[in-house]
Amino acid sequence: MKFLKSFCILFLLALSANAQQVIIKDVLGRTVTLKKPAKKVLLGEGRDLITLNILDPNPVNLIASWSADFKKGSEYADYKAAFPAIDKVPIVGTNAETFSVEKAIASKPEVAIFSIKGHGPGQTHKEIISALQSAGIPVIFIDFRTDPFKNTVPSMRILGKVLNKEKKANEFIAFYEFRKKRIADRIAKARPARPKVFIDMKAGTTENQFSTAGKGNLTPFISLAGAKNIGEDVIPAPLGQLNLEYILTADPKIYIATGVDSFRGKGVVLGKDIPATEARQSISKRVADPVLSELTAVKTGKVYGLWHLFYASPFNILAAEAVAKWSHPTLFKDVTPEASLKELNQKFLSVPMTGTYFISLK
Amino acid sequence: MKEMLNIKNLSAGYPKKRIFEHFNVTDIDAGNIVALVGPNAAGKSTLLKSIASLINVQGEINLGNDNLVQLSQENRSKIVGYMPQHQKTDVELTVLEALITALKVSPLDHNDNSEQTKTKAFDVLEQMDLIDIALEPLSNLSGGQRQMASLAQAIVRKPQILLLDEPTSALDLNHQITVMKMIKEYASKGNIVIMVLHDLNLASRWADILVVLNNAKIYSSGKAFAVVTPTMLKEVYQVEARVENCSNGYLQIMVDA
Amino acid sequence: MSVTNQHIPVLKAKRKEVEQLYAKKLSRRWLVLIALGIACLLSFCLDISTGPSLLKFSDVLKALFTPDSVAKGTSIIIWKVRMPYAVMAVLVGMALSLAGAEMQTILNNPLASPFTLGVSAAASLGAGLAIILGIGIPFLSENWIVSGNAFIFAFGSVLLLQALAKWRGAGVDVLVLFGIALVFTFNALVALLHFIATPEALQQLVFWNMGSLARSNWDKVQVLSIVVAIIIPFSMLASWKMTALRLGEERAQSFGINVKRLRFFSMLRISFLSATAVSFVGTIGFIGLVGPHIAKMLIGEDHRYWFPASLLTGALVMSLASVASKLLVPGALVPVGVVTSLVGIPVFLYLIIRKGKK
Repeated sequence: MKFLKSFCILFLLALSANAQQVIIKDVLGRTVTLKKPAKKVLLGEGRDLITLNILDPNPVNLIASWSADFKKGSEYADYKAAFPAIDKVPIVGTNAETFSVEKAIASKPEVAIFSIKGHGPGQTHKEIISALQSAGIPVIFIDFRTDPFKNTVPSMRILGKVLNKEKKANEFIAFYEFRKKRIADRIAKARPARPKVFIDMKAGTTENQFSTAGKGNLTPFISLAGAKNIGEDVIPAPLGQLNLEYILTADPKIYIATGVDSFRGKGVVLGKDIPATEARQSISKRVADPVLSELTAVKTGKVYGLWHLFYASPFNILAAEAVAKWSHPTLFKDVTPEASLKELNQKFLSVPMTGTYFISLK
Repeated sequence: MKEMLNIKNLSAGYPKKRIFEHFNVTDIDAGNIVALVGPNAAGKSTLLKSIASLINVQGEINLGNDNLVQLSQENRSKIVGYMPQHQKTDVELTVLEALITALKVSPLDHNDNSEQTKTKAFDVLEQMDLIDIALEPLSNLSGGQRQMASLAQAIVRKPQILLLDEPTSALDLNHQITVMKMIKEYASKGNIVIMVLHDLNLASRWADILVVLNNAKIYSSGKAFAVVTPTMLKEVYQVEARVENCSNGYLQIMVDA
Repeated sequence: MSVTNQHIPVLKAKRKEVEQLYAKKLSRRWLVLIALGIACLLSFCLDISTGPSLLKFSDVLKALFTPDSVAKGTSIIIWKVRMPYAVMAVLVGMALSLAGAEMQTILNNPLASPFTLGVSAAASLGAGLAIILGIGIPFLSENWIVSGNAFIFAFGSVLLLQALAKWRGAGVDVLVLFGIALVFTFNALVALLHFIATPEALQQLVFWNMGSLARSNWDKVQVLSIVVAIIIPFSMLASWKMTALRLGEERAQSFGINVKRLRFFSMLRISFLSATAVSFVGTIGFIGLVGPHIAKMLIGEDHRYWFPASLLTGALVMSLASVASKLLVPGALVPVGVVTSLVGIPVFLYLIIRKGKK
């Protein structure tokens, strides 16, 4: 009887341990098992701190160590003001090449969250992955950059599970899906003509260079918004460079520049704390380019700006709303990405996003 | 033109290593052939290079009243011609092109019209029996042919002092004689030829003056009969040998060991 | 020389024959140069008439000669997009190939190119400082900061090399070793820049390093064409002396050539040509190596012909690479530096194999 009792206790203990176990299928289809939800993670791309803020009002508390890329942006100052401890979070590198496995292991994360491709270690960095795994740190891949249209929701779901913040994750997914469906339904119903769009990413940072989205990245969001990205048919990768002549020949009806605050002095600026006038000035300067100024979009004043980091963030749906509104103003008269941003700030972000994230030159 | 060459108090060498100190060879007459002989590493090639001022030299190399050391490189090249010991093997220029180039960069000949240049070049080719290989790239030639071509590059500029570093080392017997005859003929026009030779028989046969170098110093110098002796061979080369007078009047060294 | 009397008529006939063969060879060289020139012109036309917009050839011609008679878009495509790229391709090919030819001669090394001695590595460092740290020459307009910096560094690296060589009285082999040391130093410094770069700036630098004609504009075309036009006559003036240098350094010296001076001025020409070209279009590999080699195969080593032939082969290869980079992925922009390497490697391998057989 005594034996049976202790067996029962052991069984219950084992059961409770099992109950805590988390089994995850990441965006690459890898199955990863965690003994229990993670409290401290290694962040392969620092910018995903904002993503974590969706799930937790104190995201800094969730990070064991991270990549330094986020430190260069001006959002960092806000997070630092809210969470002074952020300065003490160990840095494991600035990109995959400078990633220090030793520092990563020393920071004792329970799990590593990597983007499949981006500015930190990605799926191709097998040595880093296997070194971390053999140190008992499972690696989980998320994706907001390569195919965010497919992977944003799964990535959020994965993060919710890993961090045991499924409720918040589901709330965000609902917020996201609602907007996605709203756009899709209206386009499906109205079937408007699809205007050609050129999205000039990192506009103006390098002379005569025209980076844009190809197959993947923001392209499906532009399609969702009832427009046609001119980069889709010619660039085989998610991101690439367009030939200037091709842009002239395609002659887009809508021109969208993307930029961030760190391009100040070089190219188009938008985002955190950027005043609308400055954003407009930077875009005007870009479209004054002797060749771009020949585009119909520029001549007819259909010139817009987007925060560059929408291209690698779960807030990509806001970019879709903006493109939808710019492409079909009457159809999306009541939809404003600004309102969505406001809701995002109210419902999810303890450190709100303030500044210019979408802008029309006119 | 009939001026004597006197080398006085010549010091020469490389930046970190002096080879010669206070070196003297005097009274080399126009028309003379001087052979520098001596064992390996005696300093023969270095002496030749210093006469050509290709390395740092101090002292006097007087031709008549001119001190060649004081002349600019360009002016010196009007008087002194030099054939290095080794030739580059990867040169795609043809034998003829090399000669034309030698003339075109010469301060004396560079104003020639192309017809004059060509004539000068072809004259030397003809003289040296090189017409057949005139249009062959230097890289395609045999070692001996390349040596002939190299000699032609020095001779084509008609220098008053011709310095040759082992001009016959890659040649067969027949071509050795051809080259030596040509050198003799060249000297007889009032020029001075100084050459490094390893073959003592050849040196005795063709040179007017032999200079025996040992450890960067002159061991002896003078006519072959006076210089090439069993004692010299023993002391300088550490070889036991006899020196015989042949019926043709030339010396022949017979090694006993 | 024992030329007996009865041989003389035979020899005279032989000499006549060889003289005629030589004259033939010279006129063949002119033909090769003319053919190369025509090939360049054709390739240039092809470059102008290809592009993702698939303009009709007749429209291209109209846009060229009567720009007002075509749609404004067409004339912009021809004059503001295709033309500066195509002219830049030709000029860059010329500059890098001539610089490569000079380099091969003065270093006495068939594998030398303007990049052997760290010119492009230095240019990358200069560009990197401008892109990543925003360090640049004051008062230079935004568009010129990266190019300006790249030029200063590339040019400075050659002067530094000269100074090192002079200081140690170093020969050619030591010069090459110094150059290799510089390459590694600059590369290490660029890697250090990578470490502190923002991800966006890093991508920009990586792209810069790939080499692209898309950075061309008329101002840059103008600058490079002036540099090339000024340097070519000086190269040609030195061509006899450079040919003599091929016969060996001592030999050239004995010919009365001040080899150090010759080498210094050649280095100066090389640095102007390659620093200007690289600072405008980034690292474009192999032209400086392959251009002179193809020219040598076609025309031999007489520098009077080899230099112009190198100019033309460089222009031709670069112009063809420009066409290829447009056709490879129509509409997208494939950095031309990548294509030149891909075009260059087979030619290079062929040369090695040919040499091996010989």
